[in-house]
Amino acid sequence: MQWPSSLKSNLQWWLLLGWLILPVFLHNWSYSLHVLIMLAVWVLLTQSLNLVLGLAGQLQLGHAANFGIGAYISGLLMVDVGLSFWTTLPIAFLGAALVGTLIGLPSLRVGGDYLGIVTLGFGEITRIFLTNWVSITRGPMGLPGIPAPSVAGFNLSSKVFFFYLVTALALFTWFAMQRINNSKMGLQLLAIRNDEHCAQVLGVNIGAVKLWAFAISAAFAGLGGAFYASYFSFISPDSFLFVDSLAVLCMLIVGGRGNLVGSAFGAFILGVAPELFRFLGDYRMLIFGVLLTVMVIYRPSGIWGLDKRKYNTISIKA
Amino acid sequence: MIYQQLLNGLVLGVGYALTALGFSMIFGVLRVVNFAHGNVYMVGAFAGLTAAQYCGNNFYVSILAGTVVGALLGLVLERLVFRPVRHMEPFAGLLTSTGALFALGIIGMLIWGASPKPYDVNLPDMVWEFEHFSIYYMQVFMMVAALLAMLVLWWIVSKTHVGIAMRATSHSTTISQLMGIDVNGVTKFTLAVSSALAGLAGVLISAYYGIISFSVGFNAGIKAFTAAVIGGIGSISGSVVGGILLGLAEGLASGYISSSYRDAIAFAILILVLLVRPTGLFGKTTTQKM
Repeated sequence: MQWPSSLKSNLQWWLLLGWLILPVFLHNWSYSLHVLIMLAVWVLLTQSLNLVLGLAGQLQLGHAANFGIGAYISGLLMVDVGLSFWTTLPIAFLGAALVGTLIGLPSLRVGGDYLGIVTLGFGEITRIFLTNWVSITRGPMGLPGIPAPSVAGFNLSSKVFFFYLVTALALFTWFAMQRINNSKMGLQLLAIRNDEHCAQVLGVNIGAVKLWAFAISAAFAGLGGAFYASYFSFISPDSFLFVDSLAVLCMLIVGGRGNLVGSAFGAFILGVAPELFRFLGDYRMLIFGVLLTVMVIYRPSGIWGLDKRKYNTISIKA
Repeated sequence: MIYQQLLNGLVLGVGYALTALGFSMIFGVLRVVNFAHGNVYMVGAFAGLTAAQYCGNNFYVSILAGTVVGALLGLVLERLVFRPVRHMEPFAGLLTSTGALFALGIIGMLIWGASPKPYDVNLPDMVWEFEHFSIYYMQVFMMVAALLAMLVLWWIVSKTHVGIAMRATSHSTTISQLMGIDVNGVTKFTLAVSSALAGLAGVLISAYYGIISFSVGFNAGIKAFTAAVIGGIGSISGSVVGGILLGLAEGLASGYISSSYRDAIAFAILILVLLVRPTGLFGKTTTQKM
């Protein structure tokens, strides 16, 4: 099919415009808007996980913990200290980055499957602490009554506002990830993924680059977590389970590791499809599992994966 | 009290060791972390319960059924999940088995229901009382059964033809193939035996706790992995020691700290071992070739 050239070169902007005016056209308004908001959160999470798992090839199975840390930092600061949402946003960003660095530390010593299990272990330990440290986190009962963001004294708790807020956050993440992707660091991460020893020999400081990747990835997930806490106004340790980490992982694998468009596409497929196929009930998770297995076997690079990357072989000019 | 805690920990540890053995064998031969192992344990336990219900709650029937169903499930997993990805990147097997973990968990829930069920099997109510502690029949039975299973496994791996083939395959798949070893056959056998052990462990531990739910699989898999890593993954004696150490640590922790941190302690031990000695207590340190 021949696309009009002006449409083709500006496709991303048309899509963005379509997304921004989408709330006007929705039926069953409140529910559809909720699905779109969650979709944007999933996109944010896949984009941030993509940095560690897609580019650097480090198996990170505790991404939900980063998300949860961001949510708890933001939620607790708002409820207990009374800070505004906008102040907690950068704190959640930095706090999650700190925890992300901690989670990334083992990647200096262990790799592959082992790293997957260690990150999974960190995720579970985070959940266990959130559940049992009752004096701070309120334990398994969760943290209710998180206020919505306010601007100039107005409490903005309408769904439309949240829709545009999460769109802004997801776009910010996407933009930052794209810049990192096409930067020297992105190429270094790709080199680590392809051959760690070779990258080291060629002068990549693999330890530092890996830790930065873990920290940045966690920081953006923390941003998403802060939004999530404010949007739902209630968080509990059960909102950040291993299953959620796996869901993000599935989206990334199905959509395409290492490719931002692909991972967003995966979030779209697996984030929206469960809502459309809600009548399937429990079979949804079955389909999830089978889909993950089938994709890894028959199309390991995903629907739109690393093979579609723009700068696959790049010559760096000094 | 400390003797009782140690004994409880030991019994639990023997159960972990059984699960860890299968896990460790699969890793040794296939170089794959089998995430679905825990749900094989769960399905084996439920299959045992169902079989026992048709035979007047006979405990021995449930052991047999759990083991056989586990072995069959292992064969299915080998064909559908592990064989297609054998030549792919290192963690492809982990991802496909994670998919299997999801799928098996949901299948278990659809067949046996979402709510926890009492594990109704007839066990003799014998108790031996000692000065500081008491031993239940189930605890003795579990230790003896686990010991027997381990002895059989040790005999298979070190004395039989297929055991030698397994060890050769775990050394180098390519060279064993050149030597005329049927690697597919060895893989099938490994998966069947490992999963049979998981099913056996599932029946034993569920009968010990007296309760079973479809969601136990994930935790069982994690415990198996932890035990295997502590002992040195791929080593049989290592898995046994690792499982027992893990059980003892958990028994003492839930007796003296808090049982709600029990799982956190398992993970903390795991991360510590991986950071300090990634090859485990009994694992060989390998030099990586560049």
